[in-house]
Amino acid sequence: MAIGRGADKKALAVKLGAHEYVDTEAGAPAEALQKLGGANVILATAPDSKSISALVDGLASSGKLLVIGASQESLTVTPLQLIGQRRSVTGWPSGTAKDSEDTMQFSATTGIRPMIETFPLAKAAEAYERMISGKARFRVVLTMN
Amino acid sequence: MKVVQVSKAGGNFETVDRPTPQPGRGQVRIKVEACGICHSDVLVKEGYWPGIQYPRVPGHEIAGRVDAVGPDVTQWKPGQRVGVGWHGGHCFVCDPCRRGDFIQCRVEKITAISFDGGYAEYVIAPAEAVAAIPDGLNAEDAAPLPFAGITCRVSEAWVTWEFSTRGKWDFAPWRSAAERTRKLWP
Repeated sequence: MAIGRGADKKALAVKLGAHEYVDTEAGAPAEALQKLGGANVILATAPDSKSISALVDGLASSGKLLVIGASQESLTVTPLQLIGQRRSVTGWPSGTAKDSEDTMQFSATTGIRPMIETFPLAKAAEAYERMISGKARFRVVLTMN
Repeated sequence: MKVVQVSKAGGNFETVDRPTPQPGRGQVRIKVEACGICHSDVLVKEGYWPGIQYPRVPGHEIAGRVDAVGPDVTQWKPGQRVGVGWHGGHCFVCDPCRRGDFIQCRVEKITAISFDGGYAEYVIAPAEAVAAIPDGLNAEDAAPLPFAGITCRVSEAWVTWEFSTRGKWDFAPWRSAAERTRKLWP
């Protein structure tokens, strides 16, 4: 299941394998998740604490909000949102070099590749702005040659 | 070598020429071929990371080739294709390291925060922070994987596994020795 902002991302989410797409602009995303039974795990990659906080009530019983989008802003969650449904909020810190090797091997073995946009090193500032704009699909990568 | 650096918190990117650095003991020099731009690069650009020193070269999604190795590096040779992610090295002697939990090293180095990153033609990295890139994966595709890819894949695997076992403990193939050990020594 994919959660995104705006209806225009639905087609790509489905193409990438999502069975359902929840558009956060089309109403309360937590309600949409609960209609589908509630999420066991929400992998929160967007560095947008307000949007992520709005998903807590979409977790199923014992559900986990796994936060990996690094942000300076506080998440908002009340004890009552967590206690009754035994929910939790947790983070994860990338991994070691061996974990990186495993991930790259997974990519090589399965043929799954990141979707990237490349810029030469000389255009690093422009490339960074592209990343900040949120419009890149998806990773901006600098190339040195 | 050309690098793109930031000279102060909130400063602009500057392209500058620097002498190509030599790898010290336990270090590897990598000729960078590609470097991903992560949203976390704002920590360097805007100075949000406490204690960060400038000038600093951002970029913790590095892919390239080993170009030179310093003394005491036995696992890497010039020519090998390698990547470096966020975790930029560990001390091997603090309590988390002695438990094999290197990612929790108390003096963990972070790529592009503790030392200069991959918006550059060359990077110097600790040998233990370096990962081999498999054949068939090009540098541009490999670059984001040591950080963005690994974080999603490993964290998801962790949660999925925890759900599948519902609190029971067992060995999972993707778990590092560190996590296994930590669970055995609660």
